[in-house]
Amino acid sequence: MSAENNVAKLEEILERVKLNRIRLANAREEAQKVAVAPAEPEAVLPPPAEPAPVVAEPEPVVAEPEPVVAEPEPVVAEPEPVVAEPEPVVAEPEPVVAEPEPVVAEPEPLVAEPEPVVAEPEPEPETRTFEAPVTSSGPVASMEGEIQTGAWTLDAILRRAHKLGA
Amino acid sequence: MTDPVFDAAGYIKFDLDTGTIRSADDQGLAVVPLDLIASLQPGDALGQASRKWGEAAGEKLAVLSLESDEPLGPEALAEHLAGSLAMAGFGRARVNIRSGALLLELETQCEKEARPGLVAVVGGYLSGYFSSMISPDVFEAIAIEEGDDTITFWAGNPIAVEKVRGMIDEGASPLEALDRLAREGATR
Repeated sequence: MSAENNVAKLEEILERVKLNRIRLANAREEAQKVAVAPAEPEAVLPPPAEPAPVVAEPEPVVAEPEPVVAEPEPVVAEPEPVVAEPEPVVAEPEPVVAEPEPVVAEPEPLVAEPEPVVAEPEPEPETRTFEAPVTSSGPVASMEGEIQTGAWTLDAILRRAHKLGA
Repeated sequence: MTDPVFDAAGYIKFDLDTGTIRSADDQGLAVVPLDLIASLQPGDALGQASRKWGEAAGEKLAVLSLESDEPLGPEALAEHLAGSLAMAGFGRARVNIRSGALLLELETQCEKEARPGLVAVVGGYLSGYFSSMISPDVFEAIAIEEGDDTITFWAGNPIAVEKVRGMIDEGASPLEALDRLAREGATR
């Protein structure tokens, strides 16, 4: 820096000091004006309060002791079931009653096997059923003249029967 | 012989709306206990009604005889007669011809002491049945012997019936009476 610059700088600083002195004087003058004016009555202060206790509630010195012994671990583990799930002693019961037999048997036919309405010829020689063939002997010999085909006809039987005892 | 076991459909018609039962030829029927029939008291009215019933049945066989190319034999008689009695529920009938006499043996379930009505009805029925096939002659059928389970009917002309009744009243057995009748008839 040159000397010229320094002189200029110095002059500037002096100028500032000069201004500051002016400002300071003005401020003092103003301050004196305020102090001369009647001051506002000061408020009556309340009596000093009870002094606060100096010592606060002492902190507990010793903290809550930590439990020395931790929750004991269970010594014995959950016992294993000694007896296993019992096997069912009785097996699935067999049905006591077997499939019931039908109570009613196959019904017998209500009508029995019918016998032929006309029975076999009577063994007696003088008796003939309608099935007996006409013969040329025996008690029906008297009918021969009325029989043309060698067999009894219904008409011949009826007429012979009607003549009987007439 | 036809099968004795058959379905009555077509032979007997039941009409529950009108409460009627009718035969194939439109004859009114009734199904009543056999004991009721058996307990009926014999009499002229019962005999005539039974005879008329038998005539209607016998006429059917007579028609069959006329329509047949061959003369009907005793098998047709026994089958038709026994069948009609079986249809009525009276029992099992069997036709016998003994010394020319026309006999019918009926096996029945009615007690001997409790069947006067049954005897009268069947007797009248047989009288009309045989008479219808030999008209204008007439038959009369009577019970000549009764057992515990069997009733023996005999059919003859009215005069012969009186003779046989007389002989039985005199102590002859029914078969003896018929044999005597046959011998007397043969000598005439």
